[in-house]
Amino acid sequence: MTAQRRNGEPSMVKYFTVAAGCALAAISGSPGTSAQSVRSGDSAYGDWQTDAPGVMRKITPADLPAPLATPSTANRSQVVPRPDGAEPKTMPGFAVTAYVTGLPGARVLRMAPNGDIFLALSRPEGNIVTIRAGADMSNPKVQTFATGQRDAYGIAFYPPGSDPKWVYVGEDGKVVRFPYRNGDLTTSGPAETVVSDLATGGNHWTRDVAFSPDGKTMYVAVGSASNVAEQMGARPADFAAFQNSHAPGSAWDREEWRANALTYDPDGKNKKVLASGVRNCSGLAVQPGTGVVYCATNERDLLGDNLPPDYVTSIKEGAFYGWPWYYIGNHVDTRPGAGLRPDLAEKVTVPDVLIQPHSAPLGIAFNPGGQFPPEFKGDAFVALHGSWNRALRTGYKIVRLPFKDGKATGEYQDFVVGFVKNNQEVWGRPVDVVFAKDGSLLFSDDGNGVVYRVAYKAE
Amino acid sequence: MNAAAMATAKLFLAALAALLLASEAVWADTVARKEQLCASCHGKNGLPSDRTVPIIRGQQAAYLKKQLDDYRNGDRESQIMSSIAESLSEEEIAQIATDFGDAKWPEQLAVLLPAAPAATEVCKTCHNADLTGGTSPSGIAPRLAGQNSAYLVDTIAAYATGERANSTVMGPLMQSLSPADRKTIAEYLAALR
Repeated sequence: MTAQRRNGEPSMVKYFTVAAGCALAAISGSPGTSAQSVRSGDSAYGDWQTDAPGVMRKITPADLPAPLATPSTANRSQVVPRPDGAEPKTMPGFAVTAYVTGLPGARVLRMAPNGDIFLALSRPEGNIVTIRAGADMSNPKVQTFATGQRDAYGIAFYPPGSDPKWVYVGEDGKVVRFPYRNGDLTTSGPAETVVSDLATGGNHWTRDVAFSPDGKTMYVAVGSASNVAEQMGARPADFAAFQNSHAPGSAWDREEWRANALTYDPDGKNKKVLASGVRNCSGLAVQPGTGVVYCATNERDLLGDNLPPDYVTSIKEGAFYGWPWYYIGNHVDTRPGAGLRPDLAEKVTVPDVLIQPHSAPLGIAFNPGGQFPPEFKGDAFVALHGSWNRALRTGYKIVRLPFKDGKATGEYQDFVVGFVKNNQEVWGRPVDVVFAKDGSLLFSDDGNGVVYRVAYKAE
Repeated sequence: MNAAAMATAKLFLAALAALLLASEAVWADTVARKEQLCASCHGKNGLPSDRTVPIIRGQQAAYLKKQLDDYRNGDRESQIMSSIAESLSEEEIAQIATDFGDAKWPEQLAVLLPAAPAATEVCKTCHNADLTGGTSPSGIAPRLAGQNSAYLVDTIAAYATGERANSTVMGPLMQSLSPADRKTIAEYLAALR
């Protein structure tokens, strides 16, 4: 699909008009009904002030503004304690509560087959904790599973299914695995290194891990070292051989074996590139039923407030998603070192769901059903960590991505919002999501070290 | 040379001069615009509103240059600073470091100066007697006097854990400080004027 670049007046003018005009979308009575108005085109863009539970947006490749239509701004958020009386807001019928507090650096959340929740406290500790609760999720108790796993991030149980023997952890420079049996709340043995040469350093340190349903393939996501490889040197000498061994869209120098999703055998052998040009697949998830791999991906900085969209996408084997030379189809980025890649122009896969630029999607989970309304079954829920490269803050929320017949519709809906206090200060930065054994949704906040729970009660 | 050739030569030189001046004006405009980006986090008047962000205006120019180079090549990590440094050319980094180095350290309200912790005597070996930095046995040491205390606390911790590793000496030195020491040192340094 050839993406079109939008020309003409800067979308900033229209964007402010929309913001002043306030909420356009009519939020229909019960969640997820089809009488939902969708903000599209310029009105799909906004900021934390135009967020509200239920607001549905759809950004398409035709809606992209020109590079630097707005100047680049650095607008780092300051995390503050929860202001008095402030609560996260969610859609009608749902309730969100602070489930466990006192978890500094709370990041990746995964559920073991027996319902225990595993949580990585990635930085600075590098600890993994377990959360065990009663059948109705009451009385959660936290225990330390493992310590000293520097930048502990992805957590995956192996073999997949009801009786795992290992829990794998993606961390700084490696993937390790701990022996594990159902019910373990702490390690029974030391970590064994399965992959010892994961790329390390640079901008993007998260290393998510997942397994194919048949247990034959381990997926590991590795983000780029840099923003857009501006300092990348000349091509490797035997470029054809490099492309053969690495994938045609792979970058080199500090970016070698980065900005991709990799596959390995579960014992760490047989490294291959699953898909290249994925700048930072922070959240990796395997769709239940289909086994399709999904990436929650952070696109690049310093092109302006509304460019380019972050995205959530199914990952096709052998596909190239653009980074660093292209974004969202064949939109050219002229900044990468070592020149342009016209040879790749027709080979860029457009991602499935485009999300407001600079939102920072970090985690994704699929709703298996069981508690949320039936029309939400199979939908993906994504945590947006929130922006720095935008004049008006965006992200800092949980969004729902509707799926139909196993595929994303391309829309996304505000599900939990309210963590932005003002344009400088926030009191929550969502990182990851997981569905618990009772079908409620848990999400982590590494700003104030909290795990929140969203439960649904049919009215 | 005859008069006509002379006139042509003068015209050529004038055009060349105009071209050089014009390109320098364009380039300076770009650097000035980029320095506005710095101001968004480091403060328009040199004082960041977020105290975990360091004061850079009036900092040692060679130290600023090294940090920007280190962010650019990955020797120091920060998602925001790495992306920004990556987008700067070598010339721009040199210019920005010079511009910020030449500027005056921002005016700060005087605060009660706590007693100097004993450990700060070691700091003076490299950061100089008045802790404004300069040439040292291990390179150009940055100014510490008046730096934001929250930034100093984070920096001491980052050196101690190895999260920041772009100095040959700071790691072991900071490891030797207890958490209580780190706080009193940071507060003392931040109060210096």
